[in-house]
Formats: sequence, C-alpha cells, structure tokens
Amino acid sequence: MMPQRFEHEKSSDSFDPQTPSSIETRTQEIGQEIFQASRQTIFQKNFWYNKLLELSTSDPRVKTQLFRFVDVLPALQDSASKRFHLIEYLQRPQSATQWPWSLSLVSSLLKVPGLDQALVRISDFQVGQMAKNFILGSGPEEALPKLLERRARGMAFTLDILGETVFSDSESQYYLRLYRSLISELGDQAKAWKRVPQIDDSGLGPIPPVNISLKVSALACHIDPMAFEASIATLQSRIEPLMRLAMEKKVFINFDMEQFALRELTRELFKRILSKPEFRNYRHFGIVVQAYQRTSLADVEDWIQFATERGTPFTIRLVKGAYWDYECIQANQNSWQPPVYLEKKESDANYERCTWALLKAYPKIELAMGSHNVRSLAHGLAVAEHLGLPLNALEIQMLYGMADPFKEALLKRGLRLREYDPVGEMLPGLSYLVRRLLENSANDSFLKQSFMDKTGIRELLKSPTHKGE
Amino acid sequence: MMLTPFKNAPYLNFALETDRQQMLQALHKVKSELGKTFGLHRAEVLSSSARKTLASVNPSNPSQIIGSVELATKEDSLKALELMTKGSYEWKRTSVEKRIQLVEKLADWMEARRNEISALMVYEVGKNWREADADTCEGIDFCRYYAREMSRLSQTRVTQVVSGELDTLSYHPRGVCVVIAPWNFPFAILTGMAVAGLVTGNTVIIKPAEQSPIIGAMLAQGLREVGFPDSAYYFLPGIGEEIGPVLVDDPRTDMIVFTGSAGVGLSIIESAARKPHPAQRGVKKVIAEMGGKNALIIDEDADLDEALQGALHSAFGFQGQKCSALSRLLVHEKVYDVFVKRFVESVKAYKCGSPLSPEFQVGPVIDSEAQQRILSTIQDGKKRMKVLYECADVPPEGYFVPPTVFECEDSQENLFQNEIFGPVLLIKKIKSVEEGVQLANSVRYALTGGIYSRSQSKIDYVRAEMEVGNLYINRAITGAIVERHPFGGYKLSGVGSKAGGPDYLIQFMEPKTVSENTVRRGFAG
Repeated sequence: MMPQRFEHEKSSDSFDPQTPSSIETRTQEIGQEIFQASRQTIFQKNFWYNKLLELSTSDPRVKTQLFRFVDVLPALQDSASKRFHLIEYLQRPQSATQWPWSLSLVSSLLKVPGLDQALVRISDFQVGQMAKNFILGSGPEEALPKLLERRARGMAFTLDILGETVFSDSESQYYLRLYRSLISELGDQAKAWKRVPQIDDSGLGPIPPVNISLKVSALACHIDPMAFEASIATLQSRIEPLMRLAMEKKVFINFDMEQFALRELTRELFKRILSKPEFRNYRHFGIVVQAYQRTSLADVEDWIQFATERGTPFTIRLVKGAYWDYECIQANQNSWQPPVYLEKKESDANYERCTWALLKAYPKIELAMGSHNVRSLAHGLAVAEHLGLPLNALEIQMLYGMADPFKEALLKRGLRLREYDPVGEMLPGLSYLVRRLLENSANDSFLKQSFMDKTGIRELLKSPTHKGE
Repeated sequence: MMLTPFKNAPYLNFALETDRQQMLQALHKVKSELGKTFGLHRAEVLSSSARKTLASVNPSNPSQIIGSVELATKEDSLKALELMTKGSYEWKRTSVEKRIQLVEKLADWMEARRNEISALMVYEVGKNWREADADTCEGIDFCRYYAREMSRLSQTRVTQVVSGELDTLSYHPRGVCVVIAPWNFPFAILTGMAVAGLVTGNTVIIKPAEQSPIIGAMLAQGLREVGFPDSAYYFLPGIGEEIGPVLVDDPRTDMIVFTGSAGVGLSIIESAARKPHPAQRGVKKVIAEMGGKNALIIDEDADLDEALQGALHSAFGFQGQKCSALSRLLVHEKVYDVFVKRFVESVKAYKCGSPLSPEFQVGPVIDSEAQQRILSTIQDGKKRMKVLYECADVPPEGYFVPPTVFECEDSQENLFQNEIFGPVLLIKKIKSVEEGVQLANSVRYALTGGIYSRSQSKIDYVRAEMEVGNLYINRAITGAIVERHPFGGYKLSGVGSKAGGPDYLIQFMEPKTVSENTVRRGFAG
C-alpha cells in the first residue's frame, strides 16, 4: 500500500508566524470536517461524573468541596470516616449563602442511620467509577486486553504508570522493576501482535507497537534540580539500562514532562543519553514539550538543532501542559515570574508556532500532537498538508477517557492516533484524576466548551491569534 | 517619602541553570576571599590586630578558617555603650525619612551581593544553597518591610477628634538597643533585629553569635558602606558569657533584643527586670525569641505524600537547627505503620556531607560543642526509646551528627519535652487529633506546629486549640516569610516577638500621647 499523503497545496517553507490565510482556511475546513464526523454524544456516559462537573461549574466553592472530596475519599480506610468526611464536604459551608440543594440533601441523609451506609457505598463506588473513566486498569494484566482491543480498533497506545511521589530507594526500585518488566514482557508479546499499518508506521518507517511513557521522577528519590549533576548521574545510571532493554525489545520510550522544576533536568538527561553512541541510532525515543511554557518555542528550536546534530530523528510530543495551577502557585509563592503563559489563548497560539517549527523540520524530528483541541489539531494537519508531508508524518495523541468522539473522527481520516493510557491503583492515580477533573471543568476547556456548553463550532475553531472581542 | 509597596525578595530558582551558576560563582568568589580579619565597631578589614581575635571555621571542614574578628573585652563593651549613648542624641533626631532611606539603601546593597552573602553562609554555618538563599532573602525582606512599617508608624495619629483640643499619638525611639543574635539565621535574624532598632531611631550594639561573626561583619560592612553614622551602630563580636552580662546589666542599655536558647533568654529577662540602678533611666525592654519543641500531627485522612515531604523538610532542613524545626511527629494510629515505614525509608536515602555540594540533604551541625551535646542526647534517648533509624554513614571530618529517628511512647520523656536543636526526630502514635493537640501542648514551648488533615472540623479544632505562635496547616512548619507569616511564639518560646509582622517595630519605641488645648480666649484655633 502506498503511503497516503497530505494533499499538497503549495510548496512554501517560509515560516510565517501569522499563519498564511490559505492555511487558516484549511484549518477551518479540516476542523469542520472533524466536528461533523464526531459523534455528538454527551460528554461522558457516567451520570454521576456529569453531575459532578455540572455542579462544580455552578460555584467555585462547590467545585473546591467536590474535588477535595474526590481527592480524600479513596485515602480513607473505614466507612465511619468516609461518612464523616462526606457529611463535612457536602454540607453547606457556614460562610456560603447558596448551596446546591442536592448536596445538602445527601449530607442530611448521611445522618440517617441505615441510609448512611448505602450512601457511603454509592459514593465510594462512584468515585471508583469516575477514576475508571480515566484510568485504564489497576495493573498491566488488567490493562493488556484493553490495549489489544484498542489496537484492533486501529488505535495505538502509550502506557503510563501512575505513581505516588517516590521517597525512598525501595520505592524507586519498585518502579524500575515495573518498567523493566513492562518493556520486556510487552516487547516479547508484541512480536505476535498483528500489524496495524495505520498506527505501526510513521512517515519514516515502522514504529514499535509498544510505547511506554516514563516519568523520570519515579526512578530515584530526593531528585533535586539544585543538585543537578548528581541527580542526572543517578537517573542516568537507572534509565540507561531501561533504554538499552527497550532497544533490544523494540519498544518506544517517551520521557514525560512534569513540573517546570524538572524541565532542565529532564531535557539534559534525555540529551546525554541520546548522544551516547549506543543510543545514537535508535529512532524510537521521545520527549515532551509543553507549549504553555514560555520557553517552549526556544526548546523546540533547540530540539531540532539537537536532532540535526544527532543525525537520527526522535519524537517530540507537543502538549499544552497539565500543571498550570501548580506552576502559577509555585511562582507566586516564591515571587517568581510564572514560567507559563497566563492566558489559554497564548498557549494555544504558541502551540501552533511550535507545531509549525516542528513540522517544518520534518524528517529531522517527528511530531506527536498531544491535544484534544480540534482547532490545534486541524491547524497541525493543515500545516502538514501545506508542507506536503505524508499523512503519517505526524501522530495525534489523546488521553484515555477524554474526547472519544474526536478519536473516531480522526481514525476515519486515516490518521495515526495514539491513546495515552494510565495504569495503576486508585490512590496513586488520584493526582492524575484531579488534574483531569480540573481540566474538564475549567471554563476555557475545549472539551467542556464543545460538549457541555455547546459553543458554536466556528467559535471553537477560531484562531488563537484572532484579534477582537 | 514614597516607597513602592512591599515585595518579598525572589528566591533563586535552582531549577534554572542561570541561578545554579550564580551560586557556583559566588561560592568560588567567596572562597578566594576567605581568611580576612575584621575589626570592632565598623568591621573594617584589618591587615593586623593587636587584640585577641576569634577565628570562625567551616563546620564541614573545621581546618578551614572563614575569617576572624577582633574579640571585644568588657572594656570594649563599655566603650561601645558609651558611644551609642552619646550617638543616641543625634540618631534620635535624624529624620525618619533619612533613616528609612538608609535602610532601603542597605537592602539595595544586600541585593547587589546577595549570592555572596548566601555563599558565605554555606561556608560559615553549613547551610545548603537553598537554605542560605532563603536566609539572605529574609534579611533583605526585613529591611524593606521595616522601612515601610516605619513609614506607616511615623505618621502621627489623631486619636479622637474633639473641638478645642488636638490629641495625637506618636512613637519615639527608646535609646540604646543591644542586639544579641543567634547563628542559625546568621544573616536574617541579625539583620532583622539590628535594622528594626536602627530604623526606629535607636542606636544599636550588634553582637553576632560566636559561630557566625563573619556574616555579622558583612552586615556591619553594609551599614558602614551605605552611610549609617558610626555613632548609630557598633559591631561588637565577643564571647557571650563575657560581654553579654555587661551589655545587659549596664544602666545605659534601654532595650535588649535577643534570639537564642530559653536558658539565656530567661536570664536576660531576669537581669533586665532587676530594680533599676540609680543611673538607669527606666525599665529595660526585652524582646526574646527562645526556641521551640514543635509538633506536627498527621491525621488519618492526610495526603501522605504531602505530609511525608513536609515532615522531612521540617525535621531535617538545616539539620533541625531552626527554632521552628519539627521535633515531634504525631501520627494517627490508622496510618501509623504505613506512614512511619515510608518516612524512615525516606530518611535512609538522605546523604550527609558538606553543603558546598548540593547533593547532600544533611550537612554538619554548627560546632563541636553542639555535635557532642546532640550525640550524647541520642545516646541518652537510646536508653529509653526504640531507634527507628540512625544514619551510619556520616563523614568523619566536620561536625556531623547522624539523622536519627526515635519511636517515643512516653510523652514525659526528656527528649519529647526539651529542645534538641539537631537532626533528631521523635515519632509518637496518637489515637486522635485531640490527643495529638494535647500532647503538642504538653511542652513548655509554643512556637510552631501543624497538622496534615483533610477534615475541616479537625483543622478548625487545631486552629483553635494548638498552643503555637505559628500554625501551619497541610504544609511544612518551617520557612516563615516576612509579612506573610509574622514569626514568633509564646510560653517559653518568647516574649514580644512576631518578627516580620505589623506588631514588631512598635516594641522598639515608646508611644507618646500629646493633648494640646487649642482654645485661646474662648475660640478654637
């Protein structure tokens, strides 16, 4: 089968930060097509989850209480203390004049003997269900059939191990062993998997069906950017064997990007490892760039430079970034300039600039667009088309349990789509869950606007650099 | 005088290469300048001195001399008192604008060499980069904050509007202020106490701790270079036992500002309260901040990741040598086993070594005396308590003490009740938050404390019942920031503290009410 190509429009490689009008036109067209092809279903099938989001958008205080409650419930050990917390979180705070009647009602019913146990069980179950919306399974065994099912539907995966903060060597050893066995076992099993050309080939040739997202902070305790060299040395000694194993088993390893505090460290670590002769010729490594960071365009340029020097491509997963609140709070408390853009629009615009730069550098470097924002994705697709790149030159990545209607539309277009699939227990998954809840309930969330607020498609597809309003 | 609104000095961000480089360069520069000798009063660099000098050493490497200072004798102290008493007349009458301006200039001076100040602390007291940087920032903050506070307090206030009379309240300097500083925040606390004295119009005798006189000399150098008159301050390094009583007892001393141990603090308060000498002008004012025995409660519903991080940092940051440091960890029985096991494993991963290299989480304690005292306290504790962990890998050179964790069952235990001031933590199991608060309050101190909990009613309970000056909820219990967290405690932890808060400067002044009858022959002016 001949690789499909983007429809070639015109050959111009001039980088224009003001998107050429033809690209803007195509972005709108592609965006419209994706929306038309998407099932316009309700946001999520889970009733309680919808209820939670609905309530949480009514009043910031309600949101705080509900999210805090989701955050604490799984940590509680017995039903008495669950009941105690439920009452506390759902009753009207003294300072609030208005409070959703449904929450007050549940809170009062919890004081009724007999009913309380049932309500605790329901809440427990519902929070568990909510977590299941975003977490693929509690362990690799549970996740594997689901991963294969995804591949059968034409969707690739990257596996993410949920974890608590690592505080000791025994904890970091645990994650090391887990990663090692995942790479080794999935790598071996994958040899028997049926190839799915739409996802198993990039523009540069075959790519591994097994793709693992690695959090470097899980691999050593007391990592501190202040102790830069020592931290890198420790991490390098632990990660290199994993990377070696990944090469042997033909597995893709992607470095996730966490807080800004670890940005330089993670970047330097990735560079040092990839520059070593033994790792130099392996294409299936990747790292994340977070477009909400003010430094991200410079980082992209630097990665292109690095890829050029290295001579073998690797992948940049371009995301907007999920630690926005945290970064702003950190900066504020330490009297620092926030490292992130304060306006969502600015991040969106920067995302498009980074997309441009990366696609222009193809095939020195490969791009995976991690976003649920149809506008951002359509823009990337329009740029790729404009540059005449093969259809599988770029990959699209979306989170498990998010934006499912769009996933189908993208698959139908013949695009290479990868799902980010978190695996782990409820407790270590909580910070991930709360990040998703925050993301989905934020007023500027693309998904919320698309499916809950029913914002018009034209409005949703508007260029982030669009002036006006 | 127009001052910009107060802003905290931004910390270095060690996640950035530029900031790490700044620190490395400063360490390099400071190293090349070690070994100088500083004189009394103005802290000028001397090529030689006929007096007895005191050498300050690097606690990680005691053979390395950081610098020396001339040691003040009793006679020197009396001379300093005389100069400050004379100087007081003029300094009191120096306009408040001028004093504020000098303090602002001092903050600028510090900012310009902030990394060198921090680097010097790494060498002289064994702070790690981050702790040293925070110390410097706090010193700068004290200058800027007190300058603004003084600007506020210098506005004469009309107490009540009534016809025919003008009634005002205003604040006036006390006179001669003796500052006796600790070594654990050798820059911030020394600066805060001295600047508070100076900006309020008092002349100040600055006695740095014997273990950190070179940082003290740095402050004095700043005062000199930005133009504080010689007659307003006197840098007086000396042995506390020798010159302390001279300074405290002298009838010319109007106030004493002290931070240090409860033992010394109490004797200062006692001497200051003695019936005044005939030549004494009044009752001496004492401000004393005197340590703590701080507890942190981990509730059954705490976020254990967060709690662990906060507890670790609070207990072992700067080797536990902070008045605010955590020394009693009270863990709810429902999470006790899980939490304590993880906590101990985590401490095991700490490495001890010189804070010159940033990879070590635990540095040395301040001096050999402290080292011996803490080591024997640990030995003593072992007789009655179970050791959960004692680090075995401690550098042989330098004043290192192994981070040690005890499991405590008896709350009457000596180590549970009294301050240790080192990297030693006691963990005790509790059945409820109420029991935790009761245990927390069972000591004679009331400085810092906290709770990790996700129950609002428990948090509210602790808020109301825990006897501390600074209560921290769901965060570490150290690291107070000027203006944001006015700092200081009560009970044996201190009298009249709350440094970096709106109540602090008033204590350096006497309030004066003036009522002027404005009626002349029946008409009001």
